[in-house]
Amino acid sequence: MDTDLIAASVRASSPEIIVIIGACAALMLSLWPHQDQQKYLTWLSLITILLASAQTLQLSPRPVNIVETTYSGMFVVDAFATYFKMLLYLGTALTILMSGKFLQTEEAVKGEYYVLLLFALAGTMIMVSGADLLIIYIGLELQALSIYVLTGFLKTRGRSVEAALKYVILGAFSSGILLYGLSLIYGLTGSTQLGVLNSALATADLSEPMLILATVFLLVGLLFKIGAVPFHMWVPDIYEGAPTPITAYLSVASKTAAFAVLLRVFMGSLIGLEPLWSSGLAAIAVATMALGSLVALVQDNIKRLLAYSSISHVGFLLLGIIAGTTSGMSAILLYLLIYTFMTLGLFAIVILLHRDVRAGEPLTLFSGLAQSHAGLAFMAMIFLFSLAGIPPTGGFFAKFYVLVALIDAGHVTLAVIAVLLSAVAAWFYLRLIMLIYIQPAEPTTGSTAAPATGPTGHARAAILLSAPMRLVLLFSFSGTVLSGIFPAWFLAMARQASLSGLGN
Amino acid sequence: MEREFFLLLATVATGSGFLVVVAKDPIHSALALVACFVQIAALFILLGAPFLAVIQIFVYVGAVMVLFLFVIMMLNVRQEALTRFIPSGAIAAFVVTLVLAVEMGLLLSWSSDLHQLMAPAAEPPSVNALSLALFQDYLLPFEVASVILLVALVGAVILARDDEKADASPRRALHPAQGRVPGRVATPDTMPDILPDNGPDTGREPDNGPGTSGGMRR
Amino acid sequence: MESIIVILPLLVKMGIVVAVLLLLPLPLTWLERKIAAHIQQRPGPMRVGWHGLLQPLADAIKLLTKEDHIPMDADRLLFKMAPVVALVPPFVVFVAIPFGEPVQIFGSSYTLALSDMNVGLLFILAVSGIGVFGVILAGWASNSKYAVLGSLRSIAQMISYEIPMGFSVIGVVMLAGSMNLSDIVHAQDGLWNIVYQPIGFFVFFVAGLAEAQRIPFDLPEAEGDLGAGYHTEYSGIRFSLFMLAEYVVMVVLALLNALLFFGGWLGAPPFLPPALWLLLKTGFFIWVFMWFRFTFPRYRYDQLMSIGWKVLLPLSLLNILISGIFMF
Repeated sequence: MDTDLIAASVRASSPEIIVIIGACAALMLSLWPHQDQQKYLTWLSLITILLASAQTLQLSPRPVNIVETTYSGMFVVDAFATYFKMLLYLGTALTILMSGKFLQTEEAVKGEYYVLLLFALAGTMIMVSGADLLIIYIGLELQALSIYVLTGFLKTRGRSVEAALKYVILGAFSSGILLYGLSLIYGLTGSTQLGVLNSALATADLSEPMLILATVFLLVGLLFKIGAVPFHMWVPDIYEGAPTPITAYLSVASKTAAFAVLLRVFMGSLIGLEPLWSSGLAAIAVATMALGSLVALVQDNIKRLLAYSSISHVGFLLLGIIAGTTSGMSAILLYLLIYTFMTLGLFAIVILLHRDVRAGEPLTLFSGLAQSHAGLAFMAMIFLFSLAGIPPTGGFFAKFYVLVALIDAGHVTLAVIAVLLSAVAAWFYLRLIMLIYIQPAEPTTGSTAAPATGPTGHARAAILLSAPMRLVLLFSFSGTVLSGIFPAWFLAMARQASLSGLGN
Repeated sequence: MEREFFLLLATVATGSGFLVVVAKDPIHSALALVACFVQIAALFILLGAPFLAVIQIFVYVGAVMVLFLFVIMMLNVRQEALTRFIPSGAIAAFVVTLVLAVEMGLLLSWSSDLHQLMAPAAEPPSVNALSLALFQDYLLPFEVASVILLVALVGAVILARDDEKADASPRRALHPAQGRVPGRVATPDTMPDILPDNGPDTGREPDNGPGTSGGMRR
Repeated sequence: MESIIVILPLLVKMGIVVAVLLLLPLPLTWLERKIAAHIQQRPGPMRVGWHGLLQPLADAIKLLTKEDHIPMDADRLLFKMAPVVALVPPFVVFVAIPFGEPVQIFGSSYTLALSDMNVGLLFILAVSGIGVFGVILAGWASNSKYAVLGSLRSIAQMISYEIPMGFSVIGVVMLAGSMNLSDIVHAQDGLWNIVYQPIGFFVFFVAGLAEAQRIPFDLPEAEGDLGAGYHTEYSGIRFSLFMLAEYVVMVVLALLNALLFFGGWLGAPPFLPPALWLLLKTGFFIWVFMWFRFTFPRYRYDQLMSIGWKVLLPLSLLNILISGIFMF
């Protein structure tokens, strides 16, 4: 590799390099004992993300269909990667903004929190840009390792440690499965580069048993990461135990990156194997939606509820892959964007309502919110409407475009099932809205306030809206609403990105 | 000659691998794992990759397994070794595993690719070739792997470090004798933080949903 | 027939190496005791033979006839395995060590090494790292507090010093452009590596002392605080196997110092065969190790750790950096 190639490679990966350098700088800064350390760290992380996003935009290919490949074909810069990176920046930045208050309530203010979040961001960016199964796997591990630690960040809380332990074990297990699939693919084709795989598998014999095994392993490994149904059991436990901002990050950024990989691998290079995986994936998608919606009905913890809700959203997203067309793909990209807005918004409200870890996060936190904080209650309602997919909000259009793509591709039965199941899912979102608007603020519903801890704020204390929190709510709220008002503009953006993603 | 050597090494490797799982004493398990790694290193030599073999011994046998033993010896596992941790419900899991294994075995044995042998490399690849592969073709994975190691380091330090705040907390003041101990030891009053079984939080939390903490409790 | 021609010289070489290594402790213990005695201004062993020359023999007979005692509740299998596990790696290391240029005997050429392998140096470092398993097993299997403490110490020490030791030879490898020990020796034709790599030599020497668990780093068997450390419970022939292993490790380290930094068999005076010249250098380092033993006090455990991580490791990295800059 001569100097020109190295320079080109470094330039193409400069956003990742910026993020990693920023993380290292934050690591140094976190050693400097200072009263306002947390504030500085927040700013440093945000500036890093801002710089990286500026660099990403600057690198983004002008004619959209140009694909720039560097690092001997391992790393790719295209519109698809750019779109996903912007999505990841958004998710991570909002997570960082909403973390400050949470860490203070938990008395767990440590600089390494921001460092690990930035490293996780770098990992997801590498996943998104990877054009080689090997580098995708390594990016995945970088992301996962940071998240393992962040999940167990509240060391003195049993739930957090338990979640971290479960996540490590299951994560390692699923990575192992992914690696088996990867090595089988390598054995069959002699390459791990997605481009080479594409041409090698185009002429492959689909009845070859080893190929089936490899596809299944690869698919299972990735489905584990997004939490689709037979492999979803880790999701509720870990979402409940992890610190709330990390739960938000998990359900948004981690999932987004895993979907990017799923799209790039299965709709890009393994498209030739579609007969092998499409029917199985359809069954999984339906099962995921059904289980997510039905089990969510009986939850009484808000984080577990959101976990099941995210499972059912994953089912919906998988339908876009089954559609298998460019419009299906752009529907997924749009869905992920809107999902980021509405989920992060709702999590921000959960953090605002969160008072004491001993109380957990029961649904009753929301009861009577409309009386004390009308504004917050209204925002919560919009986010919940959007998650349920009710018309004027972005969530409706997200689901709508997936359904349109599905019907265009001829899967009418699937579309009908999806509509029915999302009607079921709407019920538990509506139940929350009922709590907010109809139920009075009456906290004696049991489980929460242990008598020993005394009055855990029965009369709701005034919720202090700090500036970062306002910013988070502003962003996520306007995103949710705007995407409901101008869906076509957002869709055009997603379509541009998806065109290049299918091209490789 | 090569075939006989391969069969010997493979047999010992599989046998010691099996021993890792069935041995009662964790130290014996660890040693069986060492034996397995050494056999694998020997297989690498047979394949004409001496560098890989030496690295296998250097890293896995010389460093990783030594640290494993260190950890096993630090925790008193002789007690733990006496209790079997496989519950009776594991029979179902075992059956499922068996079925899956048979399925995979069948699929693999039906494959025609399995029986194609690759020609052996003309000459053992030199260290130079290896370094070129690492630092040119696979530069990016190499660099990202180093970032992963950094993250692992930071994460381990965060999770293992004693909180400055915990030291000053009144809980510790209840044990004046421990004030002088440099706090690294797992004293009974720090144990609940590690074991969720008797953690102060989990006791009070309502058991909501299936499998909240079922996996952790014996 | 073909294979016999290949195998026979190998067997002869192997036999010579093993025989020499098994007998070596006899003169070395005598030497060590004499050096100790003279440093402390006393005569040392004088009774058995001329100036105590036959003393090691008497010691050996005593050790071999002693009762082989296994403590109660010991892990008997591991207890018996441990001395063997400790002894094998230092012997295996000699597979990769060359003693000189190939020699011509009866028209055919024989190398003075069992296998002059491509990755020789790495092989030596890797295999000598396995030796610690003997110590670990011994400490664990004895079911004795002193022994376990000794083996825990030795694990931590080995892990901490293996890193600077490995890093310190990177400079040498960079200069030679090879990990083959013969190539490394050839690269020192003219000027020995000690001139180019003083920091590397220092780190290698100190880390080597710690790896061999010689004073001032012999904490795993510190008799002051641990009885005798990991071999507290051993007696008779098993104990003597541990002693043998220690001496062989010392010889290996002395040889490596001579090969890597002092030109190996190069630069021999005309009247000496090169192999003997190498052995003379080795002998010098063995003498230095013994001299150290009776000159330095033992370090404290925390001092040991901070020397390893805070002094040697940065120094070895610095050495790599400097070598890189100069070569560039």
